[in-house]
Amino acid sequence: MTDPSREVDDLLAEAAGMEEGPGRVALVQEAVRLADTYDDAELGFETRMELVKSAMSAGQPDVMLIGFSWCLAQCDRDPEKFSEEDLLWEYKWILAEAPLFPQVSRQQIEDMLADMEKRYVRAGSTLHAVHVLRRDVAQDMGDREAAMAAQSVLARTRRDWLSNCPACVADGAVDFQLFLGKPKEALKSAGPILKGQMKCAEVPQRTFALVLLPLLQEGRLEEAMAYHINGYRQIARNPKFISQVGQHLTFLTLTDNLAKGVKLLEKHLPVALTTAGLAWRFRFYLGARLLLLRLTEQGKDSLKLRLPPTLPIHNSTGKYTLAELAGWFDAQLADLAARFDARNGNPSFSQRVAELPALAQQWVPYPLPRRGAKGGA
Amino acid sequence: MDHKFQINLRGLIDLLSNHLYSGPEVFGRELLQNGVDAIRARTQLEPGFTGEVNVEVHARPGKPPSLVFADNGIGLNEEEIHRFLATIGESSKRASEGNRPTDFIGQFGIGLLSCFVVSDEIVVVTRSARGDCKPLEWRGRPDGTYTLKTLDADLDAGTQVYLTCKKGCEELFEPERLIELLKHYGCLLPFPIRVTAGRVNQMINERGAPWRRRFSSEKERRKALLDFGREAFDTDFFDAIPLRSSVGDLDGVAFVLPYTPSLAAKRTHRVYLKNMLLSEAADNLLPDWAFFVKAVVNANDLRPTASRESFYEDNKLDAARATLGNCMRDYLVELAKKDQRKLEQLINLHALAIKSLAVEDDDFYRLFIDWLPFETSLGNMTLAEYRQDNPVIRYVPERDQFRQIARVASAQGLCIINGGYVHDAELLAKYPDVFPDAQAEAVDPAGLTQGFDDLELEEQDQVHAFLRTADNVLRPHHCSAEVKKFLPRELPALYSTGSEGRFLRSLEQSREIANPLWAGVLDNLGKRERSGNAHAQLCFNYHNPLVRRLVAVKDRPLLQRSIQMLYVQALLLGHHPLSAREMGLLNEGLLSLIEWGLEAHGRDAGPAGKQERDEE
Repeated sequence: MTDPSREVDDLLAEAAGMEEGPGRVALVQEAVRLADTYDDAELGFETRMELVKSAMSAGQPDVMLIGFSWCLAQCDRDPEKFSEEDLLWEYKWILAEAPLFPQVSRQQIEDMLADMEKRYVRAGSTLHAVHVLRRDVAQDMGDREAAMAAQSVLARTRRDWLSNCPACVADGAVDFQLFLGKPKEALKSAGPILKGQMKCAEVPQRTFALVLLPLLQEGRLEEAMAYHINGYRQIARNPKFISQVGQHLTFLTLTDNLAKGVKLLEKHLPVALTTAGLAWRFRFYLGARLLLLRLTEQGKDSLKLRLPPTLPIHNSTGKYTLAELAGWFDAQLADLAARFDARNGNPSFSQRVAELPALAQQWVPYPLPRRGAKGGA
Repeated sequence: MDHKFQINLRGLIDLLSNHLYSGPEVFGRELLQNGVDAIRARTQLEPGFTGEVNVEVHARPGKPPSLVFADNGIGLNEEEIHRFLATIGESSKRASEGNRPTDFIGQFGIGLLSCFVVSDEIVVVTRSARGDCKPLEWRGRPDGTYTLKTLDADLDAGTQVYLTCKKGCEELFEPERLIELLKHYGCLLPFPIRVTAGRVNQMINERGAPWRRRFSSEKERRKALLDFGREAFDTDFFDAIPLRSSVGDLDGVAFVLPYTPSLAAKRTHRVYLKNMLLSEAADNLLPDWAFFVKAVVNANDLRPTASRESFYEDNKLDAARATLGNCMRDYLVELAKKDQRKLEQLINLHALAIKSLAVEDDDFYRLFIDWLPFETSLGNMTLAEYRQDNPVIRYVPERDQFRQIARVASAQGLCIINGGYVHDAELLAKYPDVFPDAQAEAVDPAGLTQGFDDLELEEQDQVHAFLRTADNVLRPHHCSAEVKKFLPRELPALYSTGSEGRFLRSLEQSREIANPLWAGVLDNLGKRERSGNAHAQLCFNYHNPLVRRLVAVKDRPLLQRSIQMLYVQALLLGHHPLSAREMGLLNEGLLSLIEWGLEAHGRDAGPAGKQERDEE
């Protein structure tokens, strides 16, 4: 009989050697199943914590949530064996991503925040991280008042060991100011990140995507183009950043780099179609729809696209009229927006869709720099 | 006359040696950089001028060793000496930010400062090549005092720096170490750098960059490059790929690693800026897929980052990176045309890198996909080998799923590819996009059973009642039942489920132990777009003798129990962890089997074992 922990360790080691992404998640899931097959709760816990991490990095919030909830339940059932302190850090990821699912109700999100807060209090935290999440969650649900209330508590709270890294906190502040409609302040807060003075695993990539539109609106196109090129390269391969890809797509569309935009749409649509994070999908679709708007305005009426066969409007010729594409995206956006608005209790998602035509008018031509195609002399 | 710096020089030196510089050996780099800058400045003044650097080490019995570092560059006049001193005064702030002054004079000062890390006194003798200047001698001490005097001697233009070894730095004044150090920083420099020490007299950059030399044959060139790689990294590389890009004015070589690198390993390269070593740890120079090489590259026209670890990420670097990517891609394409044996060896080592490029680049994909290896239910093979016998590419996207079906698939003689390794599923899905006449399909393990042989009409009648019972028994487990004919014969039933099914199984596991809040969240999470009710299937094997007998069983409780047990066994065979409810089935099932066994035994043994019980 083989030693289960040996086998599990081998799988985890193999996973650790892989780059972040679905492949790694699949491997850790295998380790979880193996641990469960041997009915070993400690191994089940260890492997699930690994699963939570790799699913977080790979953009699989549903998988992360399921793994986390199992671990949390074990802590509550057997606090002698499993300590909830081991879960406090990861709890932030859960709350950060819970609003991505319109099927998770607002009450449930509030209850999770309260549950998190209770555990943070027990650990002696200043609750800095909890207030950040209260603000972010309110922002994700389009609730300006609640977000501002949380921000004012946050401003009076000290950081502690459970706070996110300074780069992440700064990036969150940029996002919040943009949400409040203060692009100038947002760009100012983004300064240290953009200058390379603050970074972490996800910053500045995240921030680069955030500032593209405000920079474009400020006429700082050269800068924006540099962040586009640098930022897109860093996020292109990770499904976690599909909503940021949507922001890059918007930028390409509004700088009139439509051909490149079509390439991005083609490349990332399969991920958007399958991502469990429906709010991410929604944001990518917004970018896609904006691109189609601009293409139509340019007088195009059809596109040659390689779309995934799972797409309901897929056809084998690869030729699509803009009208059918636009129709499909419109239906998807309307459905998603309705679900989110119903959950949130406000029309913020539908508003984003309704604002697209006005946004499309803001385009300023700024061609991508040409790349050296071949080795030179 | 004596002057005084307006700063605490000791503190500054301390700061520099501990923070700005990675170690005391950096003085070698700084002296060399100063010499290079001076020679470059003089070449601009006098086109065609040939620069050189001479380093002398003097071992002095009974005294600490000393060193003279001489260049025949532009030299300094009195005003410039005052300027570099001023820069030293200002530079404490800059130094702490890792920045260097941008003008030549300022850099000279900062460079010189690093010498205090290894020498208690620095003497600079210099004569400017501009105008009619007398030679000057500057003598500086780390307490901040210095003297400056005019020499009445006839000296060629240029600068000599005299250092005297500080206690503890003797190692750095040993000729061998010094030669190694200067080679490390300056082996690519295009003018002679000589080290003299007693009988040793060596030109450290005699051979220059091997990729810039001319060779009589390709073989010789390759050998010279690989020799350079061995010396630089102590590794016998598989091959060497010349790199060149006009954007960034960049040249160098990419060494193909002779082993398969770990995916998580940091990919760093050695980079030179204007032929001086910039960093050993540049990580943004090559495209992401190029993790199968270790590169040595010189750039004349890229910006270094403030930390001088790498190049600044801008459009120029982006364009240069694309061009370097093309160099490596062209190499692979050449290999595919000219030396297929070597290509196979390379693919053996670096299939993953080649796969990552193929994912991104359709033209490359078209050329390489047939060479690439995949795991199938009938063993490892290249895609070309696979396609010989299989017109349609069939693959399972996940490794775990593959394991569920590999045994059954191979027993049927079906060749199915395991798409669970990095990039594999993505590559296979792309096949029809690149070759429009071809077909590729992702096989859902649940779909595998569709290929099994159906029962004859009569047989279908026979299993009708059995199937109805099975469906009822399995419904609470979101599983449907079927009977088909498949191999291996010994396998009574095959449980199969797709990724949606497995997702829901794992959700159910968490839900079983969650508190009401989380149970509610998980319930809602499970409400996704769903296709049909059953997300799994138990396919009974009509070729299996046990199943044949079960089909004829009329005793409903016995039949139900048996089906439940076959279900649990099929789960275990497929490595599916049991939920609490399924674990319950297993326990009850085992107990009742024992009871049945005992009853049967009792009946055989006569009246002693009599009992009357009604199974529910």
